[in-house]
Amino acid sequence: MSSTDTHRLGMRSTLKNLDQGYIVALVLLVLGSLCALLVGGFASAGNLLDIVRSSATLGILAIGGMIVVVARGLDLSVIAIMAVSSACAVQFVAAGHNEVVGLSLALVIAAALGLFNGLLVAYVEIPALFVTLATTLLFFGIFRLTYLTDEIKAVPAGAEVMRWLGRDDILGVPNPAVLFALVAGGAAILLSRNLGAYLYAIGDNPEAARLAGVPLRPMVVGTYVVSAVLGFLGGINLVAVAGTYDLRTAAGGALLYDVIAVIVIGGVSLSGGRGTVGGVACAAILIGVIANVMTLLDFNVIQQSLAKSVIVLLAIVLDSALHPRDEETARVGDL
Amino acid sequence: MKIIKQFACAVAVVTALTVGLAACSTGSSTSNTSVAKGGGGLPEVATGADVIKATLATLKGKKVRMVLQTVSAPLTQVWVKRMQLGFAENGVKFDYVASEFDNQVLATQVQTAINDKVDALIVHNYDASGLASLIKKAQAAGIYVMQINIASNQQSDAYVGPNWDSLGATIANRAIVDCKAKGKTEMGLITGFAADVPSVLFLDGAKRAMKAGGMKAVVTQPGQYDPSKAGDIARTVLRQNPNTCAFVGIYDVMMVGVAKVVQDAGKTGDVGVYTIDASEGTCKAIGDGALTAALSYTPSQMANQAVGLTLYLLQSGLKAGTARTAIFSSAVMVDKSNYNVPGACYRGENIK
Repeated sequence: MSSTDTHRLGMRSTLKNLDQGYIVALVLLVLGSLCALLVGGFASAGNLLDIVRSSATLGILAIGGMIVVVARGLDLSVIAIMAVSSACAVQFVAAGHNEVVGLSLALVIAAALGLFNGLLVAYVEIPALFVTLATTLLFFGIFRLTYLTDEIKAVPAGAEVMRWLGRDDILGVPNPAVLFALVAGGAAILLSRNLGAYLYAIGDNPEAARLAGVPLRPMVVGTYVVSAVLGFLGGINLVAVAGTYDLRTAAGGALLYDVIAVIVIGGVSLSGGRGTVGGVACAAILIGVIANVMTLLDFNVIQQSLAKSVIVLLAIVLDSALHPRDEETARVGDL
Repeated sequence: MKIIKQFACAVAVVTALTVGLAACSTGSSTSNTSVAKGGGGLPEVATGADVIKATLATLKGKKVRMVLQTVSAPLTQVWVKRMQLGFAENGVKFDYVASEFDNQVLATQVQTAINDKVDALIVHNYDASGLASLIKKAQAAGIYVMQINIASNQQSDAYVGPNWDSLGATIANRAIVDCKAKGKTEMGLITGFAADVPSVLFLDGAKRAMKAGGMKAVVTQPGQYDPSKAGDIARTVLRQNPNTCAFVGIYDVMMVGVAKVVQDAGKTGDVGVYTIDASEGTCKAIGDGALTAALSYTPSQMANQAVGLTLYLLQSGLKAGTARTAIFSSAVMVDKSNYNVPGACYRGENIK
């Protein structure tokens, strides 16, 4: 074997071992540079910050989803939790409650819904797909029938925290972008500690992790609670930016599709044990860049659908090429 | 004696003619009722009491069902409330079900209405090609089918709702007038899902008006009926095209997201925000200056039109599927001059 062949194999091996998150970051950098060169107005600081601002909700939801998926779970109910908890917060304030109290109550509701999911998955041992599919309808139905009888409601004038979150900035950085950065930073720190190592271990092989002393069931429950809490934060960000909540957003399912797409593009293996916060954050921003450029270029709906599908397909093909399925990776639960 | 015989014959002939004519007259009346194509089944001359009696007798036992996307929206609540009142006044049983934006559920509910043998079905159908076979099936079963707000390509007995093309042109024209007053020519158009029937018609009307007015569309993007997505579009456009003088959109709740972006950018007044539809929050937003104008398509009138047309069909004797008609609800411009007039914007109703 010549030295050139050895070098090629080395490169290939390096690429195979490279986390897809880095590849997404590279794609983002290349696409961003191309857009900066070719699309007028794209590279302005204001536009770039707008991209991060508009990616914030999707990014926050996807990071929550990623934490669940890394531990070999799946949370399809995150959009329902996002919608009902943020709508509850708006309703509490509209009903005359103190905003901080209203937001805290809504946060507790979100955490309780996440806990319910986690208990069903971890202790009753129902597959996550079925649990969260069912609880999506359950949560949505219960709240629509009881408290959230209004499908649409504007954020009331007295909601100063939400107004501040949606409108203001910190040192020129829009608050939604700051929130996104804080969530991403927090999640990255969490996953880099022992707790993160436990989650990756559970995702890799739950039985081995349990035998090694990892508190499997509480950890799994915890991932669903974290996902729900991030769902609440994403929802509050959404209503703060839009100035209103519209429960039909949750009923439509488009946002859930986007969240799962971001998780997959970000390099998170749906069979668990692999994925980084950086990859997911870059994927969310990548989606934001695509949406931004399509608006700047005024693409029509067919061109938009085509561009999105090509990018998602490319990401999946790249993942397949770099991480081919074999007996070890094609496990039960691998979607 | 001869005179008496002649007199008796004359009486007999006159009597026979009278009875015969009376029978013909009665027969023609009966015939009118049974055929009554385009008629209401009432005799040519009738007292008020007769009209009431005959009409209520015709409508007695008739069942009308409305299949809605949701009953949580103010728009649909207004429809249901008006229909409850209108049908009850005429002795018609009315009920409703909602699919909660699930088209499969919607189809099941239409099938259930066919199985329940209702006499008329009012459908809030979002999909241009959806329910085609079910509409035909219902009509084959003798059920009158009416579509409200949005019409599919499969024509039902009647469409009652806005003329979306005209709404698009009217609201765009309003924005054009305001833009020209500012000496500007660049506008943004925000549709729903882009390919849905209202969006396509709205865009046709708006673009036609803009072409005639010498305006330029700096963006034509689908906001997906989502205030957040529409807001993102508006933010990007404002940064890229600072000369934009107006955003014109198809749905008021979605355009509230755009209004908030314009407000946050400190451009309220410089950049007008125009929308179709005027639900409760819209009048408040117009009062606050966030929204410039809204074109209401008068949902209570739409519901009353649907009630009237359904009652007519139920009395007409027409075969289900043969009427194929359409009537459009009125459009009323709501702006600073009339936003606080009672009824300018509609509110949700308690329909329980």
